[in-house]
Amino acid sequence: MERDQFAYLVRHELKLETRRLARGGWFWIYAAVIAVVILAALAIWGGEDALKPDYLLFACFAFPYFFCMLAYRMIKREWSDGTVGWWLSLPYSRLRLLSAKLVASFAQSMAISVLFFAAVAVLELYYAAVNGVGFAAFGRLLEQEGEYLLLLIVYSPMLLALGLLLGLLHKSSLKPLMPLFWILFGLSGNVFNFLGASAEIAEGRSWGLFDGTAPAWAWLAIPAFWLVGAALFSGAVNICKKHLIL
Amino acid sequence: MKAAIKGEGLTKRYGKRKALDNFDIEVPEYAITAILGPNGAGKSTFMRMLTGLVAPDSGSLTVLGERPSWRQNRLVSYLPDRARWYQGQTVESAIEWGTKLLPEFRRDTAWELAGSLGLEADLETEGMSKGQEARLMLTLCLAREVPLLVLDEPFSGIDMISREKIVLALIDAFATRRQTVLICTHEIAETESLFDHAVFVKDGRAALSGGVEELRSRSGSMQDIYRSLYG
Repeated sequence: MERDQFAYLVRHELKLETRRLARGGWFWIYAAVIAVVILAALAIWGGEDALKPDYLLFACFAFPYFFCMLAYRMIKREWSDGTVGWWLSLPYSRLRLLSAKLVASFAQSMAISVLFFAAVAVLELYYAAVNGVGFAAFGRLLEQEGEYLLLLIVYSPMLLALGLLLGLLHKSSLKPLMPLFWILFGLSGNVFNFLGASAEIAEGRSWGLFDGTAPAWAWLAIPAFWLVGAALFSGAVNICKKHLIL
Repeated sequence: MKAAIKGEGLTKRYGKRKALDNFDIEVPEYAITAILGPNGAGKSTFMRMLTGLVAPDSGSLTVLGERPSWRQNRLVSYLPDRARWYQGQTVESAIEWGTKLLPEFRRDTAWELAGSLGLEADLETEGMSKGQEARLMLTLCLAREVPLLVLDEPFSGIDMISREKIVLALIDAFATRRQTVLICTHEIAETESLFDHAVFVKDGRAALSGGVEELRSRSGSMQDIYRSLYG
């Protein structure tokens, strides 16, 4: 398969996803209202230190689950939109077709993460400017955000592979295995909590891996995530090749 | 005549139900073959087998001399059963999709076909009637210069005007190319004139097959044969 065809497949997936956002008129209205409420709240009560923008980083705990569902939806959409016949009869291997979805869902996940962190950073700047509390905390927030983004970059491929696998299992003769993988979803999506990040945020410190409080072997978690992710992706390809019910 | 598609003893089960049951078929090269039969006869299962979407539980199948696979799909233009087109696309972006992803896709042919089928470049999928969507999907299939064209229910659920336009487009297309064509349909009355060869499928087996002229001389029109087999 030519490289430009793979790139086109990825772009095609991304276009289908961004189309949903662009057409979600009410989503943007709610987002705008929430943004105005947060800005007003920060302006009125922020000075009393009642609202800390960096606490918004707790939202990252939900991101691994959310990313998994993004990948799951990319598979589900082929059936619900009636395009699965077009997709699977393309003259490209299942590995390539699923890789395109993996890359597209990774790009989408990272775009969402970067937008989120940028929004929190802007909020921190706004808070500091409006309440005159200085910008010392801003640098620290950026550092924390960088650490969280790195963690999401490292961790999301495994969750995305799990999402693809779950989507395909649902349409396969191996559907009875789904509860086992939903349990894996429930457990593995909670990576931030497992690794003690909640305590670190509350204490205003870096995540353990980055400030040296975690043991060195904790870094081994990263290749372990990737190995499990590769195994899940390989399983998804195998299901797509041999076990789908069409 | 050489066979473009040859299936022997094809069996496919979904749970306890047999979609295909020891199904034998030979589709002659460069002919237009109809696969006919009521719902649930096993027609679409067989059509999906041709592109490797479904694998037989037993039996052998060759398409253009090879086993069906994603590689072989370079040579097969396939219109899936009950297919829809991608939402959020226009006719123009659909033709771009074909140009980028489908081997031997002829962009100029696609635009000619789209024009003759009344599809404007900026028409969006969301604004299309079912007939327009079916015409767009057929455009994408007919614009490929490949040895085998497989159309699974190209007329399903669409209005008479669209059906007539599609049949005319098929007649035009088939007049000028050397291609093996397989069409699965219920719309026998409007399409009978298209076919050179027919296979009637009943309960997962080939109940009757042969050249259309020969079948007509023996048993009357294709509709008469259909009624006598399934009525």
